[in-house]
Amino acid sequence: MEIWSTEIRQSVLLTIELAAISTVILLVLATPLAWWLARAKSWWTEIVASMVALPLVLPPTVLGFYLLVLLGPDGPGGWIASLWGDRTLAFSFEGLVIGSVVYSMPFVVQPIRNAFAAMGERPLEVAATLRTSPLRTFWTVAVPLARPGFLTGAVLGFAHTVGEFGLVLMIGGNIPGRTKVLSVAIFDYVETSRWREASVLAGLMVIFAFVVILTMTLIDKRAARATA
Amino acid sequence: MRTAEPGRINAAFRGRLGNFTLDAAFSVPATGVTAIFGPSGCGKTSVARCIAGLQRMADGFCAVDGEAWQDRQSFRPVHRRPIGYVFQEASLFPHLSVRRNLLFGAPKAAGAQIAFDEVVELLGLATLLDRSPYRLSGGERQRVAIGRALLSQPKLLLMDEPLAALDHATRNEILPFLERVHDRLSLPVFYISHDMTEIERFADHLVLMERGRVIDAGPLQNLRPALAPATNRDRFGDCSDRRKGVGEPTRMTVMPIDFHDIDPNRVAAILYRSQDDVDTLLADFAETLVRSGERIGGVVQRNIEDGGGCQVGMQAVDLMTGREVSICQPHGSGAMACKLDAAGLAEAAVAVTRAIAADVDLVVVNKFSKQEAAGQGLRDELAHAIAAGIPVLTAVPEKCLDAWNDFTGGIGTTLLCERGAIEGWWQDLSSRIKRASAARLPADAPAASLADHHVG
Repeated sequence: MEIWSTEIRQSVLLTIELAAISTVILLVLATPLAWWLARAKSWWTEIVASMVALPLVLPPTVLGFYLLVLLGPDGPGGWIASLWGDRTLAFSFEGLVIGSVVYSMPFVVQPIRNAFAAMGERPLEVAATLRTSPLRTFWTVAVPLARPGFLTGAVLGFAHTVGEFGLVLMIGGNIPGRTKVLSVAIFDYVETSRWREASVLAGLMVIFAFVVILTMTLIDKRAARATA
Repeated sequence: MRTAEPGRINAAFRGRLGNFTLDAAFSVPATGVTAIFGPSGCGKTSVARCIAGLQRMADGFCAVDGEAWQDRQSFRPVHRRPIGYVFQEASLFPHLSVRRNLLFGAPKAAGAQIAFDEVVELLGLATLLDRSPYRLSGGERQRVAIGRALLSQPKLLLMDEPLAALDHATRNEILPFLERVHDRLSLPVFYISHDMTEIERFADHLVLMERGRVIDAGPLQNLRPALAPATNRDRFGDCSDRRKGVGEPTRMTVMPIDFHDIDPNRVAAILYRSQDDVDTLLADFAETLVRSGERIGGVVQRNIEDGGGCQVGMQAVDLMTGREVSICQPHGSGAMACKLDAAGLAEAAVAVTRAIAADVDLVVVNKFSKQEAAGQGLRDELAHAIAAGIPVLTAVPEKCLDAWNDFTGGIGTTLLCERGAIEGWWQDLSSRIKRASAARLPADAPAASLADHHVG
């Protein structure tokens, strides 16, 4: 079919790839961070929490600007890129992943942190009195009990990565096959008056958003039923 | 207390927890059941948590059977201490089945001292094994929690008010299981409770706590003379035996009463010593209930003091009418106290009888003392109220405890002379009664709604 062109297929696959990789990295980074935020009692916990939450409030262009500076040839990103012979991380897929992780972090940390906080001290104390080491307690008690939080975090992290636009445009540009994700592609099609393609992609995004919200609601409902 | 001795549990914890100061030290044998007893908020749970290592006191010492768990230099983390801990709420892992909850802390190696099958049989868990904790009743959950603690092969079992969160019927369902556990397993146990009746059932040693301090520790019989066999009755003077009343006109028409099918939790006696101001405590408590609109009746007393804090008289009040039962006579020893004379007593009796007739939610009778012990005073009215199944709250001087137990046949709850203990008992009881009546309601509801409909 003409609509399902290589161009569109490329940007859909690229978007899914970006979102999937970012979500995995997000979960790996957010879990210890959320655990610490939920349980530490030091005064600077909230300072760190606020820093993590910054992307919620900052305009994506501001975030994009700083990331561009950091990822560019003169920033640490340039140095990292030089390890494999590149000049910069900006306008690359790797740069997009880094940007997505920063941008979506609060959406993943918050639900996991809440889930860890909601279970309270008791299950962990019980496990300790049953001679379970803190590490084993984390994997066999804390993580299973916080499962709804992980699911919510993963779905939100994935969806936000799919949906980001301003940041991608700032640090990724619009390179087909490398940085041209769905949201940018739609913008591009509208700019060039290719309404058919734009409307197909926009429609796909509407369906995607609907599925995400439905999934979240079902997860919430399931969690509520499990604790009833 | 700060040395490790084989065969004993030595503990000393000192420090602040929020605005509460704990300074508790005791040494008890590392065999049998040691009860830690005291009013709510006295630090019992903190002591248990310190022993378990769940709470760390900088200035603490804990040694069990010659093995130091905490001293100046070292602190063994919770998961390295061979303990079992039963919390007030069962705290089962909600994501695991009963079987996997039970096996959570069980060592993988075979040859455990406490076997899975034995625990399942001991606690009657066979039919529950594959259920989710959500599908268990409160009592079943607590039994699983006890089993889970036992299967971790502890060398010391800590039970922090394991029955306090349960209603009376469930408590009675679990108590036999607990007794079997204590009988069959030779495991030292710390049993924390504010309920003397539970402690009497299986404790060997007692640690008495008050306001963060241990006020006494030792074998149960030595600490509670009132619980001792009848041989040392003569220590209780004229209160020990109601037959002392021989030769006086008694009104013991229906004695002894069979209280067997009365819910013992509905009968509470505040145990007080001569220095306690139980009158004010009861009067204030009753006044609060009256103000909050509870339907209560009976008689309370209030001492009248002059400006200098010197007692100049007594006032007795009928809780239902708010009227003063005014007729008093001097008590003998100067003007320091007085008691109701015959007419005052009659008026008080009417007040209690009226409360029973009105089927109030709580009858307060201050108090069960010498007169009542001797078969007079408000004894019959108390008996009627108890027999009517109405919750009864009274005050019993320590030296009359024996007479009180004779009177009730040992049923009932003994409360410490503290506002918190009384409130706790009443909140617990009244919420249970309300729940029970709410559970009964649906049966009547269709009729009621039908009637409504008819009127509409």
